[in-house]
Amino acid sequence: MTDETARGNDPIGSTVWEPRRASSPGPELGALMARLRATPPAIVDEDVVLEALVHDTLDLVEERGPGDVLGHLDDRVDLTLKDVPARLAAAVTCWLLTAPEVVAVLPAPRAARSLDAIRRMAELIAVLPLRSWLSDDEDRQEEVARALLRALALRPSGETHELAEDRWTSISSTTRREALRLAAQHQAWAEELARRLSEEKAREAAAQYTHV
Amino acid sequence: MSDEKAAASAGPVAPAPIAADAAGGAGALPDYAAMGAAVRTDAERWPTLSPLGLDALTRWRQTPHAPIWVHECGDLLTAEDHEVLGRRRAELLEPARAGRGGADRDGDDPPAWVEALVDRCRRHTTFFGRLGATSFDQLPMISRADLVRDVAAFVPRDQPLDRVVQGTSSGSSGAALVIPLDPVEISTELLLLERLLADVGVDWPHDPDRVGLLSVVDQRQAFTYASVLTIRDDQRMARVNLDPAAWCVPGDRESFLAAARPQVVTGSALSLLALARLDVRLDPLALVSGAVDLTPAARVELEQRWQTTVLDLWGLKETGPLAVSTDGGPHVVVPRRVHLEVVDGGGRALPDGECGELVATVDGNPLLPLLRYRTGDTGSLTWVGDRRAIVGLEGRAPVSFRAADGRLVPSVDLTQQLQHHGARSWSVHQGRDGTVVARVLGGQPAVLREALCTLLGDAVCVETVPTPADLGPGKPRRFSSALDGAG
Repeated sequence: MTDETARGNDPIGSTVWEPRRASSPGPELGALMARLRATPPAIVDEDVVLEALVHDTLDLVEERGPGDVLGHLDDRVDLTLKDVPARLAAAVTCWLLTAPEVVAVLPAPRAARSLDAIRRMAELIAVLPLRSWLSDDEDRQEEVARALLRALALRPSGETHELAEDRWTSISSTTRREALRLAAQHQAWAEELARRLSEEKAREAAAQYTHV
Repeated sequence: MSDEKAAASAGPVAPAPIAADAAGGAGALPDYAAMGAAVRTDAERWPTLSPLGLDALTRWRQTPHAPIWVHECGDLLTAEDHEVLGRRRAELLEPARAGRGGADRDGDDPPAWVEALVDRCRRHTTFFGRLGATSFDQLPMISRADLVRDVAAFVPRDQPLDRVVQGTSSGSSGAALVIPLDPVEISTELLLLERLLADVGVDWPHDPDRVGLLSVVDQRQAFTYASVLTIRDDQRMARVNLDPAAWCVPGDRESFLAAARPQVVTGSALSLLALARLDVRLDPLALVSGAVDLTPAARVELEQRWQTTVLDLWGLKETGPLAVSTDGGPHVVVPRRVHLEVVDGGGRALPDGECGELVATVDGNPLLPLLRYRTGDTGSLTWVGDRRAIVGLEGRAPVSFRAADGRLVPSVDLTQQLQHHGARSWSVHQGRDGTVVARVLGGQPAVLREALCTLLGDAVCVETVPTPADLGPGKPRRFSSALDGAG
């Protein structure tokens, strides 16, 4: 299956898998994985106000310029969306973005790149559950760390661009296959449910007794 | 959530034309031609109904003074379903089991069935599979918006869909939500009512001379139907609209109701009050109010009018019944799988006694189990005996508008028009001078204004807004009126 076909069949429209043509040297992969393992519980707590967290993150990675940051947010990340997994992924991404090792090498424009990364990582969680981000599985930790670096157009320190892409392809292939399988499964299920619900007999429905 | 609380839509809980509108009157919603949505045969509607029962049903449909029936609905129950429901009835009514099914004071918190539900949802639903959470305390809360976006992500893939029926609710966002319902679960509500009545000492016998259950609405347009309850020995039931235009001639309404002598009457607080103000003798065994808040004054009026038991049943269309108040006191969790939490604005769990948003976990509808579902209603948790209960339940306040000619117009009538003409969200307010300002997302302002003017008169202003956020933060209070004192 080619990349194009894969994306064409992928209802989540993920950009996580898009090939990267170039990247800049980034932080040590291990440092980012350690940062991921050290994710404070408060980051994935429901009390976190994502909008505030994103603003704080942008403040950290870049002095806020004269541009309309809120406008950027509305354009690039749907922070009003209620998709809980995506919001949790965005929160963890903010935590990773503010790692000193990342901030030190983040190319300009930093705010735009950060927001783009938040969006891409919110897509990753659709196929790689948050629980596996925060599990003891080092492969999954590496996958998350590499996904973030790619989202920022960075690559692990000490790797060439080609090597980094090869390793990404290798480590993400299982997830990618599973993602396509799950997406196709859900799409078929959603279509079947919609078809059943729209049938005339389903619409006639059954007698209702209470008024809740 | 019923259509009284929210709105009309396709399906059996949707409105159909009243008599005048069916003839093309102002405000008629063309989607709902009389009997236009009725497509099944009677044998499909009541698979176990005997020839004798069918004869009785035919007579019931044609009974003197009957309203203009605009829909048909059966219980869809097969012989196998009857076996399942027979077992459920025994479990629900067996005294030794009283109190089980929800949270027991001395039981686990959350109960064991909750963790089993988490596991099932993780394995069989897209949404919880993506989360990968393995225990209840790892779960985020979900909201109606999650269901609106992709309800299929919450429907377990191990469930057959061949018998699914539509349930609809418009909810606080104004966006209609179509949910899958299961016929057996719908009829389980009847058994639940039997149990709730038994708990307060009300016997509900299968009396063939009386209508077993009458569901009443009072709105401009509504589906109505004559039906029978096969799990109650084919006893008759009906859904009727008290709006005068839903009847053939003046007086039919009162004559029909008096002849029906319904044992149990269900409705919203508003429709039950409308019924109470009719000059008719019914002798109901009980009234069951739902959909909107039953105020203390309304409860007193209903109790005094009928000298009978009044239950205030709280729940949502998505969740089914959750809790009941039998005496105006706390709403006690009903005996089904219901686990409640109360959270603050940031989603943090609150201890007993502190007021916040009620969050429900339910395992009733096999097609839509819900974990940590925000109800949008508020209250605080307590215990009544060994049962979980809610103190100060709020959030279902009904709103009526005053038309230019003085008529009271329930908000559901506005919802029907707004939704029909393409509005997705809205905030409608009537000022002290009677002027109505509708701020609306979606739809054409001129068309919406014309539709609202047919209900309220000319003092209507419609403004469109570009985003839901422009309607205000949090749960939009879609309707408010400075003139609302009715009910």
